[in-house]
Amino acid sequence: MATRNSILRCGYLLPRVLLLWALLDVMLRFAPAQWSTFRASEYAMVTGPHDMGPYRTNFTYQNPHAYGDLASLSNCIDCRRYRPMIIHADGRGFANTQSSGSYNAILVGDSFGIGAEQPSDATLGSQISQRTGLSIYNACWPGRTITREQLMELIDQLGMTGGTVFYELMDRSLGSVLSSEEDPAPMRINQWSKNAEYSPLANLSRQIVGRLHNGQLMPNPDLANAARKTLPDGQTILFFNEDLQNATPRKTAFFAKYFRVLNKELHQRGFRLIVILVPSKYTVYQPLIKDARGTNKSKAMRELENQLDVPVANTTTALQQAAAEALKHGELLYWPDDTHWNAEGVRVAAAQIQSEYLADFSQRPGIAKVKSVSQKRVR
Amino acid sequence: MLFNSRVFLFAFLPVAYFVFWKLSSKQLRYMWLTIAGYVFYSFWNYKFCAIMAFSTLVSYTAGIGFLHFQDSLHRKLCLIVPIVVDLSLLSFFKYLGIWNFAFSSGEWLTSLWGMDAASSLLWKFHFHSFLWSRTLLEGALLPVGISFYTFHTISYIVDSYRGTIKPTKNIFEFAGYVALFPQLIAGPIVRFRQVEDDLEHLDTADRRSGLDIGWSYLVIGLIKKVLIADTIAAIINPGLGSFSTLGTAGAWLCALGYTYQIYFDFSGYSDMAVGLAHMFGIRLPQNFNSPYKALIPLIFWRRWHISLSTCLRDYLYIPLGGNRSGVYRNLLITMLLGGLWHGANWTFLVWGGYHGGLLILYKSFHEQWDALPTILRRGAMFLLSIIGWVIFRAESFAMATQWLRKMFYPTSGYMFTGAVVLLACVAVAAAIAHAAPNTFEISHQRSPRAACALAAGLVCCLIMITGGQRSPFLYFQF
Repeated sequence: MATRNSILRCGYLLPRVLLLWALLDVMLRFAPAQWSTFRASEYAMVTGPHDMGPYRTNFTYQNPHAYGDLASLSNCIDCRRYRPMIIHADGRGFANTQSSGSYNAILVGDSFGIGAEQPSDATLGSQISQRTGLSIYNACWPGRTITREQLMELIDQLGMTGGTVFYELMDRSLGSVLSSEEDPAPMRINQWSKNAEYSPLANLSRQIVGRLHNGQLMPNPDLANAARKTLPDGQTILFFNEDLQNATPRKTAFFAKYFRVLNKELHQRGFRLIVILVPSKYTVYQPLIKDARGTNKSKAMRELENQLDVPVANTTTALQQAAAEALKHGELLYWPDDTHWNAEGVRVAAAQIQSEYLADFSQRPGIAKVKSVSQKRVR
Repeated sequence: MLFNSRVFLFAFLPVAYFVFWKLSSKQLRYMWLTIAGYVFYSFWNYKFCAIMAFSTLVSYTAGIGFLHFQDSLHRKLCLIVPIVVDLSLLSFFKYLGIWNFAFSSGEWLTSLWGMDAASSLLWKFHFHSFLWSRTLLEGALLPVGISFYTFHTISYIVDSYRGTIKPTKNIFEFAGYVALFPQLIAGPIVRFRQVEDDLEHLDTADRRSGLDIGWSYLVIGLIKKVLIADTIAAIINPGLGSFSTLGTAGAWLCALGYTYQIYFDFSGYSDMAVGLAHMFGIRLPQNFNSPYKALIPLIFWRRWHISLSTCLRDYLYIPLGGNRSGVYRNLLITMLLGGLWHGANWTFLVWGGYHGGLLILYKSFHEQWDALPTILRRGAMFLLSIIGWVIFRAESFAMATQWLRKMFYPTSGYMFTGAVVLLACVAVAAAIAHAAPNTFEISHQRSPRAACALAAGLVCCLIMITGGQRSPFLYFQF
C-alpha cells in the first residue's frame, strides 16, 4: 500500500501525469515544426496567418519526409510518397527567400502558387520568372488568397509603382470554396483560438492513433476524405473530394465581377492583371479514368475566361494533354498523394503561360484587353 | 464538455478544483459548485441553462412550500404542480418526437379516433404548429441530461412530500445539488438524501482523503470509456453501418461488442462521476454492480443503472401497487416507462417491454429457473441481455429482427475491418465484466505499482483523447 505521503499514490501521481502532459504540450510548441507536421502548409494552416503572410516571419520549414495532403487527410499510410521539402518565409510571412528587392510582378494565389513540395526554383513564380525575366514576389497563401486590401497594402510595402499581378485561380474556387473576399479582421481574432488549438502533441498523438485506425487493424474513419481512383496504367491516385463537385454559376459570376473590380484598381496604380486559371487534379485526370464522373469545371473555367475583360491564361487543356502524354511513360503531373502539381506540372503550366499568352502579351505593352490564344482558337 | 476532453481535464477541472478548496465556507462552496455546474452545462448550449434554472427554482419553491404548509391540500399542490411542470418540460423537449413519429407513420390514430377529414387536418395543423414552435425555440435540440436532472428534482419533491428528507432552505445548496457537474449529464441519479450529509459537511470535507480515491475512480473510468468502449465502438459502428452485408459471425460480434461497449461506456462514466465527486468531498452512490454476473432478471436490474432502477421502483412501481396487487401489470408499466425514459423511440419502448416480460416470466417460473446450474443461469441471463441490447441498439424494428435472425440462423456474409482487435477487446471486457471485481469492490488505497499502472493507462487515454475523435458518452442522449 502507498503511504499517505508517498509520491506513488493516485492522488499525487495521476494529477502530475496530467500536469506533465500539459507541460509537454506547451514545450513542443517551441520545437521545430517539422517534428510534428507533415509539411509547411499544414503548419501554416493550423497556426494561422502571421503578419501579412501565411507563415511565421523569417521562418524556414525543412522536412526531409514531407508527404501529400490527401495521404494525410485520408490517413492512408501506404499512399504516402515521401519527398524533401523546404520553404523559406520572408519578413512578411510569404514564401520568398528575401522580403526586399526590386520586384516588377506579384504572384497572388493559393498553395498551387506557393509550390507545395517544390524546390524554390521549380515553383510557379520561379518558372514564370525564368521564362519572362520578371522579378516576381510570391504572395500566395495555402487554402486561400489574399484580399484586395492586403494586395494593395503589399504593393505599397514593396514600393512598387507599376508592374504585373499574376492571379492564380484554381477551378476549386468555382465550387463551394470562396476565399478571396474574407474579411481580414475576423481572421486576426481567429488567430488567437487557432494558436491555442494548435498542438504538436495532439498532432503526434493523431499519428499514433492513425497507425491503429489504418484500415487493416481497425477501420479508418478518414478514408472517405479522399477519393481513390485507378489510372489506366494501374497507378492509384487520390483526389480531394471537393474537386469531384461541380462549379456553381454564382461563383463564376462572382469571380468575373471580382476581377473586373481588381483590374480597375490595379490599373489605377499602373499594374496589369493577368489571371492564370489552374485546373484541379481531378479536372486533369478525370478524362483518363474509366467510369469517372465528369464535372463542369472545365466548362466553367471557359465561361469565366469569356466573361473576363482581363488577360487570361487558361492552363486546363495544356495540362490535360500533357497529363495524357506523360501517363504513357508512367509519369504524372500531380503528386499521386496530394492535391498539388509536381515540378513537371508547374513546368507545363508555366510553358503554357509563356507560349500562349505572355508572348502575345509582351507585344502589347500597357494594360491591353487581350484574350488568350486558346480562347481565340475557340472563337 | 465531455469528461474525456482536453478542455475538461486541463482547464475546467483544475480551475473548479482549486477554487473550490480555496473557499472556506459552506455557502461559498455551494455557490461555486452551482456556478461550475452551469458553466459545465453551458458548453453544450447555454440557452438550456435557463431550463435547468427554472426546474431548480420550481422544485426549491416546492420544498419551501413543504416546510411552510402542513395541511394536506397545500402539500399536495406543492407535490403535483412542480412535478407536472418538470414532466411537461421533459415531455416538451424529449417526447414530442414519438408523437411526431406516430403521426408521420400513418393515419391510424386519426382513423382510430373516428375523426373526419377536416378535424384530422385541423388537429394536424395545430400539432405541427406546436412542433414548429419548438423547432424555432431551440433548433429541435434535446437539452442534454434533462432526464437526469428532472429525476433529481422530482425525487427531491417526492421525498420532501413523504418526509423522507427535510427540504433545504438554502437555495445554493439545492442548486449545487441539481447542477453538481459530475452527475449532471448522465447520472448517477443521485437523490438528495444520498448526498445530504456530505453537502451539510462540505466545509469540513477532507481534501486529501478524497483525492486518492477520486483519481483512482476517475482514471479507471477513463480507461473503461476511452480504451475499451471507444475502441469497440470504432469497430462495430462501421460494421453496423453496412449491416445488411454482415453474416452470422459479424452479427454476433457486433451484438457482443455493443453489449460490452454500453456497459464500459456507462459504467466508465459513472466511475468518473463518482471519482470527480470524491474530489469535491461528495460521495455518489454506486450505479453498476457487475450486472453481467447476474443470474436472474431481477438481480440484473438491481445491478444495472442502479440509480434509475431504484428510482423507478420507489417512485413508480411501489406507488402503482408494487408486489401488493397487480404485480405483472406494475412490472410491465414500470419497465415500459423505464424504456421510454431512454428516449422517444419505439425500440426503447420495446426494449423496456422485453425486460418487463423477462421479469414477469421469472416471477412465473422462478422455481424451475433457480433449479438450473449456476453457470447455465448466468450464461442464459447474459444471452437474454445481449438480445435486449440488440433491440436497444437497432435503429428500427426491421433492423432488430434482421440482426437477431442473422445471429440465430446461419448466414454467410462479410466480416468487417477490425474483427481481430474487436475479439481481443471483447475478451478483455468479458474477463473484467464477468470475472473481476468491480470498482466499488476493489480498494482505492492503491499500491505504488497499481498507481503506476493507472498512470500508464492515463497516458494511453491522453494519447487517444488528444489524437482521436472525441466520443460522447452513450447515455448523454437519454
